Amino acid sequence: MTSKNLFFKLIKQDFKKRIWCPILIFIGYFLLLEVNMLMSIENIQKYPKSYRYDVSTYVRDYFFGFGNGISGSIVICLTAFLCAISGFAYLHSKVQLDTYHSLPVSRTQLFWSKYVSGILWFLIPFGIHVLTCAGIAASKNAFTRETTASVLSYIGIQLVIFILSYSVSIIAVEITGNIIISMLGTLILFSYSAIIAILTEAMFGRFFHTYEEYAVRFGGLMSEKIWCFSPFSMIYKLFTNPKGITPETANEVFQYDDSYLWVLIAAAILYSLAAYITYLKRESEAAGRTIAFGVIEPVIKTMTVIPAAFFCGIFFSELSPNSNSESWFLFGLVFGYVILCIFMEIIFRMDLKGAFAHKKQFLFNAVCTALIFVVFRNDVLGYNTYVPSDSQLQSCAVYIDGLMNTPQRIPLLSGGELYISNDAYCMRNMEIQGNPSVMELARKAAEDGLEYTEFDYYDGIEKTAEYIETRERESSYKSISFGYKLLNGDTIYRRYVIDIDDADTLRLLSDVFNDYDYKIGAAPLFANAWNMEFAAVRCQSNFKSDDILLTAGKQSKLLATYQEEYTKLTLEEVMNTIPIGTVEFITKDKMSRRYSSYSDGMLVYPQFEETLALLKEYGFDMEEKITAEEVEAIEVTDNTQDYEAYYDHYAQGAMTYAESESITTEYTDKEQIQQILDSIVYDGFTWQVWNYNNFADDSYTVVIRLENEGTSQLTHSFIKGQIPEFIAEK
Amino acid sequence: MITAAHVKKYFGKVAAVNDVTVTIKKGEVFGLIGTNGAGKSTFLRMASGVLRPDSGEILVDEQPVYENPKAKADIFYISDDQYFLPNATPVNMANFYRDYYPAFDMKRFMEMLLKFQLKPDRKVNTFSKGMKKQLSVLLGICANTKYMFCDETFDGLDPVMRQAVKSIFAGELAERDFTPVIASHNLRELEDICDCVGILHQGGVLMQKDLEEMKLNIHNIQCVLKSADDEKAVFDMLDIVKADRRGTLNIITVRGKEDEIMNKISAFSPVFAEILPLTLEEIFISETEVVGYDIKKLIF
Repeated sequence: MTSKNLFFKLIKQDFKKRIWCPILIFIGYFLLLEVNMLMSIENIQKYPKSYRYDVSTYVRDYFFGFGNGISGSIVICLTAFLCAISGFAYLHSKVQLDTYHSLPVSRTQLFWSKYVSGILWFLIPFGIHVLTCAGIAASKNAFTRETTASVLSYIGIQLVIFILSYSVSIIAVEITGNIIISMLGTLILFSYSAIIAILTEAMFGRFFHTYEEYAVRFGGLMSEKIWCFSPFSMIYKLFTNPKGITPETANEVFQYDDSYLWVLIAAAILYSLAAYITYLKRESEAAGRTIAFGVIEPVIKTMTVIPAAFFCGIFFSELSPNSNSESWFLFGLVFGYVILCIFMEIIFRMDLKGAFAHKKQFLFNAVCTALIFVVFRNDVLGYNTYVPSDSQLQSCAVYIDGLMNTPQRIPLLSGGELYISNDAYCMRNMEIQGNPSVMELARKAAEDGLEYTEFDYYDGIEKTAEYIETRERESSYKSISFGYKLLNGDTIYRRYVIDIDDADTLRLLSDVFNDYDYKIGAAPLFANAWNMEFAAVRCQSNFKSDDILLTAGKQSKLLATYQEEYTKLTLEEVMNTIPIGTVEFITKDKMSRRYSSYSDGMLVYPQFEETLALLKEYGFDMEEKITAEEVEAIEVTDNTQDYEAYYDHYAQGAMTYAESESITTEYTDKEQIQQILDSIVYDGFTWQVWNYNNFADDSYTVVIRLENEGTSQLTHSFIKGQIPEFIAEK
Repeated sequence: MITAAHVKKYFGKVAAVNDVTVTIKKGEVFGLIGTNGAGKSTFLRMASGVLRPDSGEILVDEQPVYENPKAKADIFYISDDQYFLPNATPVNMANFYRDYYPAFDMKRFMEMLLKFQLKPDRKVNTFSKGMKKQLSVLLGICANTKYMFCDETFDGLDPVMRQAVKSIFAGELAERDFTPVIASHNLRELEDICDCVGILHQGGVLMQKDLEEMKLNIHNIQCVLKSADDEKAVFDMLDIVKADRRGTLNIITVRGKEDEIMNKISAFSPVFAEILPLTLEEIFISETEVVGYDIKKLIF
C-alpha cells in the first residue's frame, strides 16, 4: 500500500467517523445561503424602493461580494472551530491517542489527512450551496458575467478565512487538554490582538491626556496601528475600507480590501504550518492536561492575567462615581490580578488546592503589572510630550475645537446621511505644510502640558470657591488636536489644551487659523463641493430664512466668492465680530425626495462684502433687518430661573428634568421691541464658533412674533452686554 | 527481537519508567508483571511508538519505534482501555485496521468471530468488557503483525476464553513469526501463558526470567533430619533461598538441580525428604525475597 493510498483512506475513515460534521455544516449553510438569498431577493423584488440596489447588484456585490463580509465570516469561523474540534479533539483522549499513535502511520500523514478532511467537510457542502445559489440567481436572471468572478472570489476568500480560523482553532485544541479549555483558548487566540488593541486604546485614553486617535479603517473600534495577528482583527481589517468612507464611496457596497488579502493568505499558511509543528511537538502524554505544553503555561498566564487585570481596573474605575478615580482603578487592578491568578491556577490544575501554586510567577506577573502601571501613570516614555521633529514631518492636520465646527454630511442613496465629525474630517483631509507656527504651537502645547482640572464631583461642588475659581481660570483653555503626518507614512495624533490668554499661544493659533490650507482642510464645503449640484442654498440672516435656487454656474460663483472671503478671515475677526448670517448648501435625495444639509450653516461675516452682494443679487439680502412695526410682540424668557431649578432638582438625585419655572414676559411696546431687535442675535450663529466668540448671553431666550405671521421659528439670545435695561432690571 | 536499553520516561517529576533494560526474544510469550503504576503500560506505550522515551532506546528488530511507521507495521498494540470507533461493529473495526495493516486477514477474522460467538454486525459499544477484550485480541491476531502488545488484556477473561486465546497464541507461535507481550498486574493470570516474565516495580525491572529455567532451578523440599548437626551440615551445603521449620519438619526452598539437591540430602540419611511442587507465585516470592523485596506486597 502506498502512503498516497493510505492518505485517502485516512480521509475516508475520518469522514465515517465524523459524518455529523459535514451534515451539520450542510444544513447550516442551506439556511444561511439559499434560504437567506431567496428571502432577500423576494424582499428586493417586493420593495425595490427600499433598496439601493437591484437583484443583480445584490447577487454580485452584496451576496457574493461580501456586502455582509464580517457577519458571514463569523459563521465561517464557527464552522472552522467545529471542524477543528471534531477532527483534533482526539488529542485530548488518552484512549484514542493510544490507538491512533500506535498505528503504523506517521504523525505527519495523520495530521495532514485530518487537516485536509476538515477543510473538505467545510468546502464540499459550502461549494454545493454556493453553486445552488448561483443557480437560483441565474433562474432570477440576476447572474451576469461579472457575477462569476464574484462567486469565485467569494469561495476563495471564504476558504482563506476558513483555513486561517481552522488553523488557529487547531492550535488551540493542540495546546490545550480538554474541550472547554480549547474553546476558551480559541476565543483568546481568535481575538487576542483585538483585545490588546482595545485595552491599549483604553489605557492610553485614561493615562495620557494628549491621547487622540482617528481610526479611518476601524471606525474607532480599535487602532489600526496595533498588530493584527489574531483572526478577528485580520478579518475585520479585510472587510473595513482602508480609506474610510468618502462621498465617492459612501453609496458603493464596499466588498473587501484586496491589498490586505495577501496578508490573510500568508497568515493562513503560517498558522497552518504552526498547527502542524505544534502537532508534531505535542507529546501523547499531554492528553487530559489543561495545557499540553508545560513551557507555555507561564507565558499564557502572563499574557492573560496582566491585560485582564488592567481591564478590571478600568472596569471598576468606570463603575465608580468618578471615572478618573485612581483608587478604584488600583482596587480593580489588584483585585482583578489576584482573582485571575487564582482562577488560572485552578483551571490549569483543575484543583482548588492549586490556587496558590507558582508563587514566583505570581510575583513576577505582579511586578510586570506594577511596572506597566507606573510607566503609564508617570508617562515614563514621554507620550504626552512627544512631538515629531520637522525632519520627520510631511504635513500636519489641526482641529481647533469649537472654532470651525463644520461636519461633513454625506447623503446616502438609501436615504439618510453619513455624518463625519469635523475633527475626523480635518484629520483626514487637512495637510498644512510650510507654516512653522503649526509645529511651534504643538511644541508649546506639549511643553506647557495644560490639562483641565478633573473634579471629583459631589453635591454642591459648583458653588464652592475652588470650583468657581478653577473654572474661571480655565475659561481661556481651549482644546486643539494635531495629526502629524510623517514621511514614513505613519500618522500620529495628539490632543492638547492651550491657554489663549497666553499671547504667544494666541499668536501661533492665529497663524494656524489664518493659514489657507487649514481653512480648506477644515470645511467639507471648500474641499468637496465643487463638483456637486445642490438643490438649494439656504440663507439665514438674523431675522429670516429662505432657500434660493441657483444654477450650477451661480452656485459655483457663490461658493468661490464665499471661499475666497472666508479664507481671508482672521482669528481676530472671528473673536471680535458677530456673524450676520449663514449659507447652507442643501442636497435632495432622489429616492426619498428629502432635503438634507451638506455643509451645515457656514457663517457669513459683515466683512464678506462680495458674498453679501452676490446673495443680494440672487435674491437674499442678509443685511436686511426687521423693524418694530413688523413685529406684533416679543416674548423674553428668563432662563436663569430654569438653571436654578434644574440644579436643585438634579442635586436631589432626580433622573428627570425639573418642570420649567422660567418666567416669560411679552413685550408689545414698539420702542421696547426696537431696543430688543437691535440687541439680539440668532441662536444658530453661535455654535459654530462658540469656543472663541461666545457673543450670545444665554440668560434669556427671545422669540419674535411677527404681525400677521404668527410666532417666528427662530429663537434669539441677547448679545453679551447688550441686554436692555428694562429687561435686566426686571 | 525487542530490546530496551536504559529506558526512562518521566511524567512531570514522576519516573514512570526508570532505567529499564529488557530483551524480549523472538517467538516467546513475554509477560510483564507489576502493580498498578509500576510502569507496564508506559513501557508498552513506548514500545508501540505512542510515547517517546526521555532517554534510552527501544528497538524492535533493531529499528527505533517512535515515529517509524515501518517498525510500527509489525506491532499491534491493545491498550488497557481499547478504543473503538463510535457506533462501530466488529466488521467496521476490522476494516479500520485493514487500512493500516495490509496483511489483515479478513476471512480469518470472520471465522474467529464465529468461533468466539461475537456477532459481526453488533455494535461494539453494546459488548461486555470481556467481549471487547476478545475482539481486541482477534483484531490483533488477524492483523498478522510480528508483535502483539496486550496491556491487561487477559485480566478478567473467563477461563474458557483464556484457554481459547492461549490456544490461538500457541497456534500463531507455531505457524508464524509471532511474539506476544502481555502486561498484567496478576502473576497467576500469566502463569500458564508466558514463557518468560519480567517484573516491573516502581518504574524499573526487578528481574527477568525464563519460566522453565526458573522451574528447573528452584525447588521446595520438606525433610526431617536426624540431628541438628545434620541439619546444619545439609543447609551449609545447599543454596537455600528460604527455610521454614515446623517442629522437626524443615521446609526449604533451594536453588539448583533436583538430583543434585536430593543426593546431598540423602547423604545424611534423612528421616524423611521429598520435593514439593512449586507454583510460579512461590518461585517469584522466593526469588524476589532474595533481592530484598516482599513480592507478595507488590504483585499478589
